[in-house]
Amino acid sequence: MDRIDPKAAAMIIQDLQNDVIIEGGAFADSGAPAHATSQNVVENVKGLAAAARKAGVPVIHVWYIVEQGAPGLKQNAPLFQGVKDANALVRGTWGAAPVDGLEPQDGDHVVEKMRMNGFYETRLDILLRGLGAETLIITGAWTNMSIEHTARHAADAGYRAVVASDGTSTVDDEWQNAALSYAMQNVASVGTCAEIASAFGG
Amino acid sequence: MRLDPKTTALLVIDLQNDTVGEEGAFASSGAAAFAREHGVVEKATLLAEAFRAAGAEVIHVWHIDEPGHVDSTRNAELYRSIADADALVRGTWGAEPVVAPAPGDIVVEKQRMSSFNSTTLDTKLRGLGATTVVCCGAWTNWAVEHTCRDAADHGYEVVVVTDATATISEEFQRAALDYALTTVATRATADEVIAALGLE
Repeated sequence: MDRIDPKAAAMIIQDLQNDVIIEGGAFADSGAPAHATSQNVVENVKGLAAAARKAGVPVIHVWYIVEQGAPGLKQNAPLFQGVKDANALVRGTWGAAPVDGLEPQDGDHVVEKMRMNGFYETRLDILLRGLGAETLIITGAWTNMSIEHTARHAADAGYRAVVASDGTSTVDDEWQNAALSYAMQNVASVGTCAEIASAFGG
Repeated sequence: MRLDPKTTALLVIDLQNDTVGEEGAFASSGAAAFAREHGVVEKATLLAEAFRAAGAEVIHVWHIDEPGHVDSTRNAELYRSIADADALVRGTWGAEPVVAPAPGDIVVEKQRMSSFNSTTLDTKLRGLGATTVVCCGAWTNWAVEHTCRDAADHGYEVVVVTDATATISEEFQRAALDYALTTVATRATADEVIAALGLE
């Protein structure tokens, strides 16, 4: 992992909300909670976020939030139909809340979204510009959906995208491999949370 | 599957000599062989002809860099490799399409992976009244998949043509088509898409 200048970097924690990765959440049947556990994603992201804050790297929480009944969530793809049908990620509910241990800390930023890509019709891009970030460290769930899409957009938008291989989770290892081992290999830098944290120093 | 020609547009993405041509800049990646073995250019051509015959829009999306790649942000290996290979440069053979536009077709140029990023594609689709996009072209994992994802986020119904898309290997093709796109798009063959247009 090439050095990451903390003054020109930001870290996002995307969709690590109860409905997305926790037992009892709206999508638990997908296998996502088990994969999040096997990836140890919450602890790994917690550790990387602590290292980022210590190094002066801004931490941005990106949350998928819809209103009750998902009004305005266009139902043009199974992904979005799933969110509405499962009554998932509704503002004010346990399901939409960040998972235990990944609540925003003082100085963190929060960005809300309602599509896959963390950039799509959100303030993420202008926030990153304001923070002077040129490198975007991406953690969260699910790897194939929001994470990969956000990394792709970050690359198109001119950022150096860094994806945390053990700071991301999806429904199983096969899906994780499909996300990280193909297009991501020349769109982003893929490394572990420990490798990324080490890249802040020196 | 039914596709209303009045509200459906075909996107022919990056089918240019450098991406799928035998003498193209990236032929050694396996992309040219993959496209040839699967008849991808022929199927994309048939799709374009069927869309025109049905009165549906055909939009060609081309990746075009300026000479010297002077305004390319080389922040990812993907863009560095295009510049290093001096590929897809305006005015060169490599940048020329392998599916020729017909009168009435629309052309959109892009500089990045997604057909939506830094282009007029969304504006044009809205202006044309398109609510469904059918995506074919190259490379499946990069421009095609990213365009499908963005189209879904933008609110379009998305169809990806499984046998009119090309990438560098069968394994890459499966990685693109069998995972995220199953929740974002409808997968269909060129024959299925053409049948869905309702031509006699």
